[in-house]
Amino acid sequence: MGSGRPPVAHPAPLAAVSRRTLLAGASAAAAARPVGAAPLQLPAGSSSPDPTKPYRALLHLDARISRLRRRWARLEAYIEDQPSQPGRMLAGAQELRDIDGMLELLLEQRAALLEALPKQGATSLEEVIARLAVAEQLIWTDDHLQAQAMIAGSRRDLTALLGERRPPAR
Amino acid sequence: MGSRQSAAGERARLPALSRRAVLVGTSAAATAPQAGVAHPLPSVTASGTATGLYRRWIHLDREIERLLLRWGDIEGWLFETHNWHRLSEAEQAALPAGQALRDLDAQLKRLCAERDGLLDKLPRSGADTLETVAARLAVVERLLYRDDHPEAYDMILGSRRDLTTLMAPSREGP
Repeated sequence: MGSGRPPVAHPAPLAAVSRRTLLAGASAAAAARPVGAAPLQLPAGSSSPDPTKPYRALLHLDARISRLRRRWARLEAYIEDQPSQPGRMLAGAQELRDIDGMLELLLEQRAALLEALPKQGATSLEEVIARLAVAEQLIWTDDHLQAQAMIAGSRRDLTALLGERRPPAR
Repeated sequence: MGSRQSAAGERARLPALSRRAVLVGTSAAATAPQAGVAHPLPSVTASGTATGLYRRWIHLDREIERLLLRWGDIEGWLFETHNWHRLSEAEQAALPAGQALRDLDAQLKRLCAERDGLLDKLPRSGADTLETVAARLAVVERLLYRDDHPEAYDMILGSRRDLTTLMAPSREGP
């Protein structure tokens, strides 16, 4: 991202989605959450307490953040290629600001969720597996190749062991 | 250890520890014998499993850490009592503690080579017991710097402990 990096620290009107997003039905609209709305949309599940839910929520947030960042980069490149089209530049700039606002909100949610995630005390393999998935995500691959490979392998091994422990479905 | 020393392998960043260990008889010769390691390392073939490999790597890492601390201890003492940095190589060699540092260097070089070589051989996956997974996570704990990844580190630590707890009921026999 050449000219900047999302997110910027300004209270953008998060609920105000750009015209382009509205017209195109783009991913930014799907990723955006109005201010004051429920912070997270989790994958559908049962109503019973699920200890893996907060871990999956963080992964879900990470996926949305990554998607928005990619979109931000593509849009910025698009704008830079349209110097003779002021209208498009303005619309694109507005969308960049929208994305900035969304990212700011999502990153705040992510930070709060990450801090609140249980670091221990799992009572099931499912929960350990979910936690390892988050740890895997938190470690940069280039920095810790072996460690990340071991975490990923451990997660897969536990998933396989969990399958062996479960009684066969009828 | 909370997390792996970020200075491991870098002598320049070794902490200078107390002189007491040196002064009260932990002479360098005693602390760093010519060939041996103070504590015997577990044999890979003792367990013969992936778990054994992980444990051996951890033992090597801990031993390296212990020797590095001792190295810093001796060097700190030499700096304070012998103006170590101003001595010629011949004068340094004449001091018993100087010889001890060289012995430690040799030991560390050998252990680091073994540890680093073993790391490449550690299985990344394929564990068929919770014990093996827990042993692998113990290696991960030492590979990570907690200051770099506090949440991830705590999650790995907690997961290993949780696996140990979860293993307990399954160990109970009839």
